Amino acid sequence: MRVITVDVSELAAPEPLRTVVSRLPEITPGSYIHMIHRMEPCILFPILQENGYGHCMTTRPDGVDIYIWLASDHEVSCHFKEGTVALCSRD
Amino acid sequence: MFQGLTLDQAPPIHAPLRFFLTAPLFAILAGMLILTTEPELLLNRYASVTVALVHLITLGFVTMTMIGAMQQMLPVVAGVRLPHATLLASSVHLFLVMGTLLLSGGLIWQQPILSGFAVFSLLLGLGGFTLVTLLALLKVTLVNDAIKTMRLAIFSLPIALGLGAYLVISREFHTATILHSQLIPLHLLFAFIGWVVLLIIGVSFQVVPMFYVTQAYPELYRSGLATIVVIIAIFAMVVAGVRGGHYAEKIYTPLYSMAVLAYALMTIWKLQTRKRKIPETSITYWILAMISLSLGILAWNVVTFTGEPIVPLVAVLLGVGFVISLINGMLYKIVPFLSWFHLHSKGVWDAPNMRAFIPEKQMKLQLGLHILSLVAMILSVTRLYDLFALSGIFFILSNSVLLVNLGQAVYLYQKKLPTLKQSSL
Repeated sequence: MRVITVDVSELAAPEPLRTVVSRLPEITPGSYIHMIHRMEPCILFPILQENGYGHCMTTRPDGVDIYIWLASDHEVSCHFKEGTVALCSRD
Repeated sequence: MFQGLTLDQAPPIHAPLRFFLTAPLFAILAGMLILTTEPELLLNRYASVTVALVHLITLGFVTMTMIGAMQQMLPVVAGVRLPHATLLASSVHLFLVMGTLLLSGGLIWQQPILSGFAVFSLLLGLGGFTLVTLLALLKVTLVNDAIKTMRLAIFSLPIALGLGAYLVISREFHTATILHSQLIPLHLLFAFIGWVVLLIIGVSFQVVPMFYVTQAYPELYRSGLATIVVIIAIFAMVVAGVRGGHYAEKIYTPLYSMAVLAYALMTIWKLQTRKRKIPETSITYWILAMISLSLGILAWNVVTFTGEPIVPLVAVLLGVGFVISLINGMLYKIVPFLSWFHLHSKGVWDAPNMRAFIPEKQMKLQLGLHILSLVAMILSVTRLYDLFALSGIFFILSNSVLLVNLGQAVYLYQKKLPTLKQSSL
């Protein structure tokens, strides 16, 4: 499975949103974005849902990790839903 | 294929913008009132013209921008959309504008009937907004610390409003009893600490790390603040019921001051130790706001415990130095962000960079005028009474430039829109 890492933890708004949105077309079946951020990007989640992407988020003491994949991609969806990324708390 | 930042939850851009563009107009009116009023009257906190001036700022500028910002922040922070966004925004805006103008007019020209209509209008506008917002917020399942704090702020608004309505009616229709003076500190408490400060703190939890790349506020402070505020409020109400509002003031003032001072010092620390130290006018505004808040809170305690006649100084530090500075700083981030976001959501991929919406030079000019007006006001309320007129002139100029700056961002937004219409044909 291909991982596209997008580290936006040192970018000010709206750069994290702009950056991750510009990388969304890179997601193909069998791949997902691992977004590294310092805070929960609340505005991103509805955008992902409305545009056909699945996502989940785990928290760290100094930030969050967000995983984004094509909602239609059953392989990656199952990868997260079955707990391969054990701490995913949100779908 | 990804088509853009389609986001049904965001309210239409005109919903918050109408509030942001109206606010400087009320500040300009307030400046005109400062310019044309005798200094002796401005120094008397109970004079009708002073009460009118305070409410032109607190309702016309502060509450106006805060309601505009809340409509935008709630979908972002809480994931909720206020129902009928356009109808809600236009009716609340209309009632708030009418209510503020009528209240000020009624007080200045001593026309109780105008004040009566003002109360009716404000109860409809702000009461309606509170009801809709509280109902929306109570439905949120994932409650973060920003939402908890914002809920408390919105809960404080109708209390401040109800107390204010009673105070206006009893004052203007000469039915005031001993209760009137007892309720003034509580009106100030719920309006300033409850509505204004709590909302600002709740929004800060979100926007300071978001726009300035700082670490989050400490977990202990974020999660504990709402509980502490409620405990102090209940305690203060009980004490006020038993011993009166003035006695309760001596209990809650130092307690709230500690919580607020902690916020001010933490914010300065966060901004000074931020990762990307790019100089920005909006950051200078935040620092100025936090220094004014700290000084204003200390001065408030001096008034509460020693009775020193420095209430006008407290009002200038907290009202102009803290709240107006902070709102200015926040507007310089929120309005360009909204313009950028809505252009992107409409598929305008060449939307200007956020920093291009309002040139830094123009923001600096406005900041300079704002600082001049603040310094002139501080000097006016201490010894140099003749500077009141000058402070009024600087205040008018500062807010006129603010209006131009915000208008420029909106103009750039509008200018980019036709490109979209043509390209989609």
